[in-house]
Amino acid sequence: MNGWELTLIAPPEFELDASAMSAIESCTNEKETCGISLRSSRPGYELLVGDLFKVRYRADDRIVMTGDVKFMHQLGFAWSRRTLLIEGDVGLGLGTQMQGGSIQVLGQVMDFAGCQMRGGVIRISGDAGNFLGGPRPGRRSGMSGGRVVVTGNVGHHPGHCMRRGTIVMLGDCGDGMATDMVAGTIVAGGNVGELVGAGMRRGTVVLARASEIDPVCFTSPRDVSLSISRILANDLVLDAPEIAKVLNGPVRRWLGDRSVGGLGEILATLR
Amino acid sequence: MTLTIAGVPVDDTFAEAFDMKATRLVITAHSLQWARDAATAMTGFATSVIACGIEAAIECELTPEMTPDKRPGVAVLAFAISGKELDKQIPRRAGQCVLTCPTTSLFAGIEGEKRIPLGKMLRYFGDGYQISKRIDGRRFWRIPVMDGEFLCEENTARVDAVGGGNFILLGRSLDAVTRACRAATEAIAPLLGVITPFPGGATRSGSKVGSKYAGLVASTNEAFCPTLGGLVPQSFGSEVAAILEIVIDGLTPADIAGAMRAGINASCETVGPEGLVAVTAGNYGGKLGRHHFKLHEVLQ
Repeated sequence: MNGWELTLIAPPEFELDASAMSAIESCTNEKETCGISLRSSRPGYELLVGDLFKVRYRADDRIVMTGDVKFMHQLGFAWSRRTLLIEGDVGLGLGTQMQGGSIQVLGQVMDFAGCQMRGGVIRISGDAGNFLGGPRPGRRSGMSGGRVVVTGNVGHHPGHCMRRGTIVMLGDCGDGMATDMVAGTIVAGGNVGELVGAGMRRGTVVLARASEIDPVCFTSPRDVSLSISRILANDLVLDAPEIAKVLNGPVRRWLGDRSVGGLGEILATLR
Repeated sequence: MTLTIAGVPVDDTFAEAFDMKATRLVITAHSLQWARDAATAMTGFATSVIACGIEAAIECELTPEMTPDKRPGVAVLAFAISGKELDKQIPRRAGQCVLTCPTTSLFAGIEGEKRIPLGKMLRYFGDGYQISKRIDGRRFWRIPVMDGEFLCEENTARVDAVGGGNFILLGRSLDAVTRACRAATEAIAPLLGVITPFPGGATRSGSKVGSKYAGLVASTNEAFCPTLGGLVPQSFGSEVAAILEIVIDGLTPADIAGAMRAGINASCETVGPEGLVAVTAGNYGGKLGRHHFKLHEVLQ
């Protein structure tokens, strides 16, 4: 299997729906790759990959994009098996409905990254926008599998309506973390905003730093030692070793959101 | 050709073993003692598939570094004649013996496609307060209990295995044969992938298929009962005072062969020809089981 190196020639004056870019996973020759057509925000106007990028063959099977592609939205849509490396910033909806493979971004991503993803891994070395791992606007289910790791800070409502999978945020995050969460695991290594876990029904929120938990919607905290937290620690040891260390010992636990009859849990360090 | 180990003759015969289904479970707890207590209860009535449904025993002890939740634990191997029987016995025993034991957690200990339910069935004990958690592709159930939370993996795998590997020690005295037997089971105990499910690893009630009584599937094997000497045809003389059989179940034929070799060598070397008249093996003429462990080949 061959890979492709895409170097941005110049950004267009309009924004692009890059969901068709995922066809690159099965492209076997340069002509095919250059011929992928991307719809633009300008009605009736399309742009070919070959017009946008300088395309070169790679001996490994990775697809490497170089340059800021903030104008490209839905990049990695339904991505299924290969590795996509983006050296630059990315637009909205990175990895929407992703199924497998991996996407790595060496830069910032805008809102809705990992939106409704079902599998695979997204790694973002910069910051991510709002609704990380959330549902598409108007939908009720967020990510239902896979893993998102953000080294930088994250906007508001990460893990909103999340059903399964893991989100690891090593930096700070905004308000409304894990709101309406149904299941899954979301980990915050930095400071978090208000309304953590509001409306959550099931799932696990892990906080490395002390935070205000709504005393009405959540039980009063109890210090517990859980087998599951040590298993979670095993799972996080590579992506978040400091947080894994916390989970290996006793943790402080809240249950809720009681206002919706939820049995979700917030685990936090005892320090 | 006569084969002797430490001066003890080994019969040129074979042990006849059968295809079985097996699984491995990992039980962890706050202390090794609790894990052992749960495992002992779970494997307590599991000596023979004839009436217990499964044959099970503790395979080995596990250090915290070896277990999923970093607590001390034990691995249990269980064997049954069919996957269906294993599916019936394992959740029942897990529910009554592991769920009930303080501080324990229960995990799958083997990989395979076919699955045996664990938490999938036990979760209902949570009465709606149970929580499912999927981590790294494995699904766990967290059931609230009086000492905290019983953590149980959704299911475990079942694999093809071999049961009924054996060797028989013909002793000059009861004391000698029990010492030989202990030596054999102690030599087998550290081996992975095998268990000796009978009490202390050995049985005195070696059986034959069928009985004069209708409906009884197995009965005493009079050909190996020294007290019936002169009354029924037997292959040994009056110098044999007592006989014990070591029965071995293993995940693979190689595991069983290795255990037989270790056990026979240890028993012969421990008591020598002064304690053992011979070593032989149990079979049904090769008609029932497709795995034949020829003693002379196993000991090479």
